[in-house]
Amino acid sequence: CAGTGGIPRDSGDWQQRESQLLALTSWEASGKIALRSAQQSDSASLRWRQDGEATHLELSGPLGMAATTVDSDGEFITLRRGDEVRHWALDDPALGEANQWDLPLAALHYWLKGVPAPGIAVQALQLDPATGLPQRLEQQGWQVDYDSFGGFGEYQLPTRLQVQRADTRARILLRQWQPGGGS
Amino acid sequence: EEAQDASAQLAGQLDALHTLAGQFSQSRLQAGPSGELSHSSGSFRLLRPSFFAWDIENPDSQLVITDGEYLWHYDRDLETVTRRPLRSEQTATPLQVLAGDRDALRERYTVSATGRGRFQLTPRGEDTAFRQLTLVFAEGQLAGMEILDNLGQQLLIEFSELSSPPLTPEDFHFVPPEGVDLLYHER
Repeated sequence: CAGTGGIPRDSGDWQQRESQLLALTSWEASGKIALRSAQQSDSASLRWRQDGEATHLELSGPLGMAATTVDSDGEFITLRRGDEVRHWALDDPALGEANQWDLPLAALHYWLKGVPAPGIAVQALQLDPATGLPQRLEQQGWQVDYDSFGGFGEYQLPTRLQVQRADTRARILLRQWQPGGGS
Repeated sequence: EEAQDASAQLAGQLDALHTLAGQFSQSRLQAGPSGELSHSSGSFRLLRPSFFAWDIENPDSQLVITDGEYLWHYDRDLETVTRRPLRSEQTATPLQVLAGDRDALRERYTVSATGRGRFQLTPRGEDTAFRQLTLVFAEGQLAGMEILDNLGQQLLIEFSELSSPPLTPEDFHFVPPEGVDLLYHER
């Protein structure tokens, strides 16, 4: 399934879909995430709020266990869990080793919408011939597989996807999307 | 003194409870501006002192269960099973307070009576799974729980259709289903 390396030429509607989603800069999504990496593996409910480059992410287990927030302005990332607060630059390699957050946040909030992160090479993009929606996307060595989509307002957005590189894998379910942000 | 009485009082109420089963309805009040509510419901059962099962059936599907040795968290939608030893601080879930014995209660929490049938528990440990818990009793029976999580988010849980069925440890035996992703922690 090597498919086309770059972006398929013939799909006008892909260009249209991509620009529609790139224009969607503030949104909210809630669901669940199972993260498995060498250092850390867990599943938690997820609430993601995006405003331009600013991300606010809330993670918590059943019964409010181990509630954690991840905040980023696109440059720095702050993890808060109880009164423990940790702060990194997004491109700081220690972030991964410190087993706090293994996923590339800056690119992830584009992948969640089902589009490649702009300004970074697209190593592979495979569309479902029937729907024109992405099935697989590869960037920065990460492989994103889209299992299902849902209709939310005028948008078709992913409701189940998997993000994977080496031994880090995240399985993400997004039950509810609010394009344009909740409040 | 008063704190001691509250802890003893709570222990007395909990001692009367050997097994408990019923339905729960949980509302999460989000911290922050929207404060928007998210809601879940399901069924639970517990057998003191160290067995409980918390089965979320709506809107998603998850099971949290202890078999006396481990705390299992099976997320049926994500097809993952997380396992942690029961003893670690991280697993001090509110349900273990219900299932816990008198000494564990006094040792791990400061308990104060904050109203008729209301007991407020504040964990003594550092890195615990929640910031505060209130157990609510009505007519001597457990009616609900209020959990303040580590981010200051409030979870309100109401119990209903309560009964005390005969339960044994076998009712809390859990074997991960075939093909799920096993996320095992040693501590």
